[in-house]
Amino acid sequence: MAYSFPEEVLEHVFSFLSYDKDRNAVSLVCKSWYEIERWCRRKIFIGNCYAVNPRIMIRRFPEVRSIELKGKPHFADFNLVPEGWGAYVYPWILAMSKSYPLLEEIKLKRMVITDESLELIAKSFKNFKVLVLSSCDGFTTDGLAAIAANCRNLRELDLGESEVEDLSGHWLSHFPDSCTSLVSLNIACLVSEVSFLALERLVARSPNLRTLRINRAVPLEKLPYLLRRTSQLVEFGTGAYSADVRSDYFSNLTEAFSGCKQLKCLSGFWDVVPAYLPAIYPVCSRLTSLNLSYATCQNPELGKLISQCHNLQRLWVLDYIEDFGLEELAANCKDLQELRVFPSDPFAAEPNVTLTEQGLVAVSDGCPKLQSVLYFCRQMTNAALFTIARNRPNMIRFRLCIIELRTPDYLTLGPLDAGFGAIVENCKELRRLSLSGLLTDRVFEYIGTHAKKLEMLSIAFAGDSDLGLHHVLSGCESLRKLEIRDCPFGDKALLSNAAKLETMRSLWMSSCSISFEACKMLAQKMPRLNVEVIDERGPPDTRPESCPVEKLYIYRSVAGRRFDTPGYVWTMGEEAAVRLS
Amino acid sequence: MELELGLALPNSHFVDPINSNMINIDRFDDNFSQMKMKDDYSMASDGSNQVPIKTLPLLIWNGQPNDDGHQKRRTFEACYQEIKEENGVVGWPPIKSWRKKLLLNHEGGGGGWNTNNIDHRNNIGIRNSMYVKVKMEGVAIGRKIDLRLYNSYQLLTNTLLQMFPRSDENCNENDGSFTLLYQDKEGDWMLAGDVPWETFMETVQRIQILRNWKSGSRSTRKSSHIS
Repeated sequence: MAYSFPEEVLEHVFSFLSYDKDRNAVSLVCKSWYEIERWCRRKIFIGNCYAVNPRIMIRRFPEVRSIELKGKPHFADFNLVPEGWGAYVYPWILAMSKSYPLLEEIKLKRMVITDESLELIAKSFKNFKVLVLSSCDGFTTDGLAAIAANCRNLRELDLGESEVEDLSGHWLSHFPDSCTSLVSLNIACLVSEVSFLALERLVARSPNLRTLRINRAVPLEKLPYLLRRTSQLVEFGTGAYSADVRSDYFSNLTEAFSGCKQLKCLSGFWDVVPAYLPAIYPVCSRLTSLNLSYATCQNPELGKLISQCHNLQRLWVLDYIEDFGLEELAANCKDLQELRVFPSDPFAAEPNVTLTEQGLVAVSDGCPKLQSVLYFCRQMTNAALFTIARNRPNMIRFRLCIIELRTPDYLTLGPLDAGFGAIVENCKELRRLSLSGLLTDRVFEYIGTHAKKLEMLSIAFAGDSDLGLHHVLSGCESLRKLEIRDCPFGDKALLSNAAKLETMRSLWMSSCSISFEACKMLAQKMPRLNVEVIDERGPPDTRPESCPVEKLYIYRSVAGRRFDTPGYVWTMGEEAAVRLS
Repeated sequence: MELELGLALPNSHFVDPINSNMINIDRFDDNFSQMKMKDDYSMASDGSNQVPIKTLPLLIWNGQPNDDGHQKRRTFEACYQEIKEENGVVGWPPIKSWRKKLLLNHEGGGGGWNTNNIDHRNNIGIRNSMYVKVKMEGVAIGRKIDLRLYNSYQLLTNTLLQMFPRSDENCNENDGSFTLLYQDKEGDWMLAGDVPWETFMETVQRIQILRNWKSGSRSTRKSSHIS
């Protein structure tokens, strides 16, 4: 083979492989393919920044243009990972600034990025184009100013749901007049006011702008000015959608929206005044994605709006939509693929809206393409889950959150095991699942038996013994990420499936019954795993060995243990490592 | 299905209960064996002709004294109690802190939905986030608190002092009182308590707690004792 094809030809052939999995497979064929592939790999995805280090990455892939890195565990989203845990991107940026001068794209998720890192990006990569920061923190608007001022070819700046320290709204005016390359700008997470004049000028000189999501501080009165300059927009996120009700505002806004003939996605709508919602009616029939999850607006206005969006594929909404609104949705939106319903008042003891299992059943019945669900509610039944599973065997992501802990089926008062069992049994392609409600070990037996394609599983307040965890670890062949909190799963199940952990990206367990002793044992037996105990009560060895650890994060790594752990993280097997060196 | 104590590739085989005595397995007492009897494990087996593979044991629990499930659970609950009391149910329901912040803002801003919209709009410039970082002198790990949960200096102080460990190697030098500083919008560090609570709420960006040292102390700052 190697003789019959010159390297260039193979390189060209490989360039058609866009999936990382395929590239990985190619590199395993033979030594020469491995060599050719590594030199022409331009895109890297690293699902855990501690699974490898920059040195190893650069040694193997010398010509990377685009990198995607993920940091903290997913449960960090819910405040379960203490401040200062790690996931600092600086060492990566520093190494890449020396080895990848042609780097164009950096996409980060749940990482800490300092202004220093942003400045280094701005001055190191001459052809830098894409910066996506999802749920990142550690930086200020000064860092953004450096990016704006220096990245002449910037195409995409997406701050996702990052926590940015807002020092000034003037960073936006650092984009030079020569910057006309923006395709996507998302600053929705910023708190303080941005300089509107700078924003207006910037979008006006960006003929390729397709995505613009502004922040809550931009008032509704200003929207028409922006929209008139960006009629090519495909995706638009409004700021605060409130103003005194005035007919001139309304007609201006309606006219501005009508001018956006390409518009497909809408979001924002903070502090919505329902009287202004009809301003988007002219574009409703074109919308495929609508995020109303910040729009605290009720029926009938909400239902009326949604029922006009016949082509919706994705809807995010607060539970103000209620069962009635979801029934309307089911009747009108036949292309719906993704539905997320968030709680408007999750901490209230009593329900503040009529949103039950009925709404979800209706959507599963009416929307044949539905494949992704995130649903917060307060009651559920096995019967409803059976129906949903039967209706939608094509489900890929199913995340159900019954807000009250350990809520049983309210009709039978029994656990919801059978219902979730039906989901995993019927939905053969299920890749992501989150459980809630009253659940025994039985549900994990169903999951282990049927959920053969499941990649990510979230478990909270469920199960009754080690057997539950054992079923999952021994049965779910494709499992990559497992996160567990407040479950009585202990040492036996973990240790007896130790080898499984090397096939997974990570395992998070907090407030379970894993002992410190077992953590040490696991690290000893599985040297390629990093076993990190997180305990804010102080050193775990000051408590009895059988006392459960607070939090446990286990992941495989080819880089060995990390060296940036804060004082409350203990990496198991450290003493052994020190002895060896 | 038996628990398999092995280092073999995961999921590579299903252990046949009949042949289970051939390999190293762990028999759980109490609820494990009960469930085993109740459950029909044949449903878990899709490939009927799979042969159990002999694996190296990672751990053998058999015969180990004092390792029954009940005892484990007791220790677990004893230790667990303190975690629970300290944290409540942190992170439940699972709503991103970012979204939660907005939610709290909304409640704080207007009460019900869609009331006081104009007030809302005016509030935007003032404050959208009430989460601030708190650091205590000599304590490496900071905290983050939601100031909306407090309505007085007293309540805030009491909560903060409970949040941080009180005893450390310096405790004998420390007369047990603390000074609360906050950083305002201009970045200046001010003494908490000098301005009305409402003014404090409008300007506070972050908080620092200083320990007041005994005579010959390291701190020369003028301080008001808060605890």
